[in-house]
Amino acid sequence: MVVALAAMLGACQDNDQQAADNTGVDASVDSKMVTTAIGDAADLSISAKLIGTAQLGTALDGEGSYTVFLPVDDAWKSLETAERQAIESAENRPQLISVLRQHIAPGYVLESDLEKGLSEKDGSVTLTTMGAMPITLQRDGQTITLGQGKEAPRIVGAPIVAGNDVVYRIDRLIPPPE
Amino acid sequence: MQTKFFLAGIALLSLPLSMPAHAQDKGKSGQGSEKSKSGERNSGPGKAAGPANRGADKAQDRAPKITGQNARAVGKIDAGNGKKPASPANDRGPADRKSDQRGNSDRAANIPRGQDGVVENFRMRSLKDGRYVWREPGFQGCPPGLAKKGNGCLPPGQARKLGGIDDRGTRWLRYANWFGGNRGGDWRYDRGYAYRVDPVTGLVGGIVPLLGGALFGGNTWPQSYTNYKVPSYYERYYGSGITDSVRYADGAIFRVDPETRMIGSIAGLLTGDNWNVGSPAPKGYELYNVPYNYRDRYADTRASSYRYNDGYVYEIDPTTRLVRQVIELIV
Repeated sequence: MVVALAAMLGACQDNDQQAADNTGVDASVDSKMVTTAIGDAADLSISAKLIGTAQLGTALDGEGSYTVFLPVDDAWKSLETAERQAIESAENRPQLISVLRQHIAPGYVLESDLEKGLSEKDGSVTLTTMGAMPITLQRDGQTITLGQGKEAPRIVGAPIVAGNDVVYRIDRLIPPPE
Repeated sequence: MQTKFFLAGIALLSLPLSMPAHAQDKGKSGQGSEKSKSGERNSGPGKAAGPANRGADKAQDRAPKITGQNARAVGKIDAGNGKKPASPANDRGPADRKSDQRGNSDRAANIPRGQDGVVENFRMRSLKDGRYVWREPGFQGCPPGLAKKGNGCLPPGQARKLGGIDDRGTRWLRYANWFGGNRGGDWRYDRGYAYRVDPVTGLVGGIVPLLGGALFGGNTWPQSYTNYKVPSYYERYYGSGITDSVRYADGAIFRVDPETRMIGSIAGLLTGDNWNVGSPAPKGYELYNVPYNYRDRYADTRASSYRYNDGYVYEIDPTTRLVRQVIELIV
């Protein structure tokens, strides 16, 4: 009985350690609303504008919790001119929202959660999205990519952690399925 | 802390996984010092608590509650002040909110949720060949400006004139594949609606108002689309402190003026992933993702994993990946 209790207490200590591992909060937590924090990021001005165009700001600032992969300005600028013009047209809002939804996952995935998951899953984890298909996050050396191949977006810079959301910058849009 | 998990571990070990949902509830009040309130009942779909109450609640202690439900939810736990600030005046940092939560003492209630979790119009999805597929809960009526003729809103000739969902002019090059990719070739797009057109008869068989199209802030809610009810929990979760009604369509939650039917805002996005107690957790939840304010309470352990989706936290058996309970985050 004593041995059993000791073993269970040992397990409890392990549980405590595990709990401690994923209750920690990454260093830079922004007290702003997430749309304000995104708007303040100089390299996310186009994403901020498009979130406004899509009227998704209330959702991101609201009760729900999201992990968002936002293309930096250079990623949007790298699109063909016709695509960029179409993105910003009112008649294409359903399409714009579809694209943005593909870049949004449910919940609050901190950098530490991502690193832990990648470590436990041999460098590749699948993340559900609000869009048309899940995304696969993969470690490639010091880089984390969304998917594989030369078009796979890479996470760049430090994430924004604000409100109930975590925002990762990525250097490309998530490429659509062929 | 060790004692807490030791006792929780004993409680969990004592629960057979096949136990009916309502029976599991009674054994799962071990998260904190919880107090049973069986007999209390949530309002059903479309019967949200009054706005005044909701507003007042925002500043109060929202202690966790566990509730029973056969299908979607077994547990309902309100884990403290998890609200985001409703206005800049209330914009406190996460550290402040965390302090609030720690100051609360837990309590729990077994509350039958009735039909709350069974909302037929929700677009539930599944994963097939790496892509999500879902049933489109469109309506059979006609959008404004289109007369109903025969079995569809348009005669065959006109229906065929609707733009293909992947036609130029209704898409923007390859990135539009995110929009039309999971809808088949029998879908057409026009002025904010998607139409399912019978390839043989050319008649419109279903209409889906689209997020960002017909469903957009400033537009009037489509009159024909009446299947928009949400669980009363969602009315509190996505509509707290407001007088607007909360409606669902096309994978999103909207706040709508109940008198003018004007869409005020898009209050939330939903995945539509299908979580059921006793069933495996959907794929795509390998990463811990519990929102900040609930991490103290719902941290992964060897005994339980926790994942967030569409306003709920789900407890999962780490070994079998079966969903143990569904946890609501506010009262």
